[in-house]
Amino acid sequence: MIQERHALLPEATHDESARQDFVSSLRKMFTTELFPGTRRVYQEELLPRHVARHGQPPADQREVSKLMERSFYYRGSNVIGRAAQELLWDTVGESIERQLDTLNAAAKPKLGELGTLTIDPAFQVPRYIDAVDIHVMPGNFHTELGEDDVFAGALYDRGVHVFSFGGLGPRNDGLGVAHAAFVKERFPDLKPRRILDMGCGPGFTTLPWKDAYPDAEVYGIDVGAPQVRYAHGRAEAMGYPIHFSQQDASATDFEDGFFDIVVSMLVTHECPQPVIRGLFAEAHRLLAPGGVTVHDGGLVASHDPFENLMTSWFGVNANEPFSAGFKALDFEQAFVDGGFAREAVFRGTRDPVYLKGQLPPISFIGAVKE
Amino acid sequence: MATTSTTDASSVRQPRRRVARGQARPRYLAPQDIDRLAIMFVALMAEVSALRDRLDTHELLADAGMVATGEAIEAAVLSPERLARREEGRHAMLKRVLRVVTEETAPDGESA
Repeated sequence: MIQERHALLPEATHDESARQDFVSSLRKMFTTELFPGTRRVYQEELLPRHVARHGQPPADQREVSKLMERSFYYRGSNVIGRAAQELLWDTVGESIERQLDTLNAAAKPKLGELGTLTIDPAFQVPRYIDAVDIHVMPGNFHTELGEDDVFAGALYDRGVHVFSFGGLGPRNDGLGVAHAAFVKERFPDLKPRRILDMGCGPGFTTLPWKDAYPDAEVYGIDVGAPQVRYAHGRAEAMGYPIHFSQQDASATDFEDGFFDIVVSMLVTHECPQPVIRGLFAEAHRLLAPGGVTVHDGGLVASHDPFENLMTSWFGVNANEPFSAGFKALDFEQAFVDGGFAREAVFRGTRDPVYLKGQLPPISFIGAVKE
Repeated sequence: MATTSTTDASSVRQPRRRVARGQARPRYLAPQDIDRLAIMFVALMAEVSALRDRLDTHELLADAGMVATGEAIEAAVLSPERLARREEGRHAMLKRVLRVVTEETAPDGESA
């Protein structure tokens, strides 16, 4: 699938495009064949042998992991998956770096634009962001290569498209569209004046909210200056009036009750537990009475140690160090601690955006402010 | 016969030695380097795949009676069918190269 062209989308030469296509094919093979094959190897080969020998299945994730490590299929496919992840950013990054001056210039705010961009020159990047390059994406979401830099934003926008082999759609917005549709369906009478997307990245989760609620003002915030610079340029190029600013979503500068919808998508699983709690408390402060906050996640961890090993793949192999804490978090309690009433917490699911039948449904958890 | 002189000369000539005498080859790699090698090998596969696509673009231009200049290669427009064929080709290549990963599902040291 081809990514929709706009002024901020990086160009690719013939060979850059070919390398990126290879990474997509490799990622697709890993996701649809090698990785699910691990389950077959476990269920059909390793588990029966283990049970025959020990009289019972492995007791916990550590035991399952030890058992799996004996299989070359497991070790071999994992190193291929890791290699794909490293190659993804290196391949896309090389292409973006050579055209970075052009992209930086295109993203710069100009007179007469639809939306706004606010960068905080005094912003202190939180240590949990600076210490680990999430997804083994060198530089993580926030590193600036120079003045007016959009590198990390462009890298994530193109990278996600290559990573998902186009599965999130020509605008990478499948998850944002599903998120907004979930809220519209669940709260048909909600007429939001303002909507906030926390941890907006390149903005592909933000724009769908403007489509869903054309009369609302839509805001996107992120700790990464290159993310919001790119998001701003991208939104302007696509004709969307959005207000982007560099902020920590657990302590924003918006007034109390400024928003009617506060969301995050693919953010909480990259945050330490205290930060997730902080996001929910800030959402509570920012919401007007009757407003709703909705985030992806909130699944109760499986009791099957093998399934837990499977869902730990990115945590173990691709630098998602906080995903284990995310899986273990009592989300309902976190919302209550953030100020929401326990009975105001709700959950829901939507079909996965791509690889239906292979990927689990998207799970949502949220709360309504009284 | 006049042609036998070459044969005669080679029959007395020793084949070149292919291993140097002297110190043994130093040991370079540590066991844990094998992971890095595997990742390098995947990157090399990307290069092979890109070369293959470039060859395919040459063929596309040749079919149209065009010369495959650098400029023409960059400007070539690929049909959805051609893109799909390339994806099939990459998948087939990956299956061939990664056969060894998928062929053995039993734990090491145990036969299936």
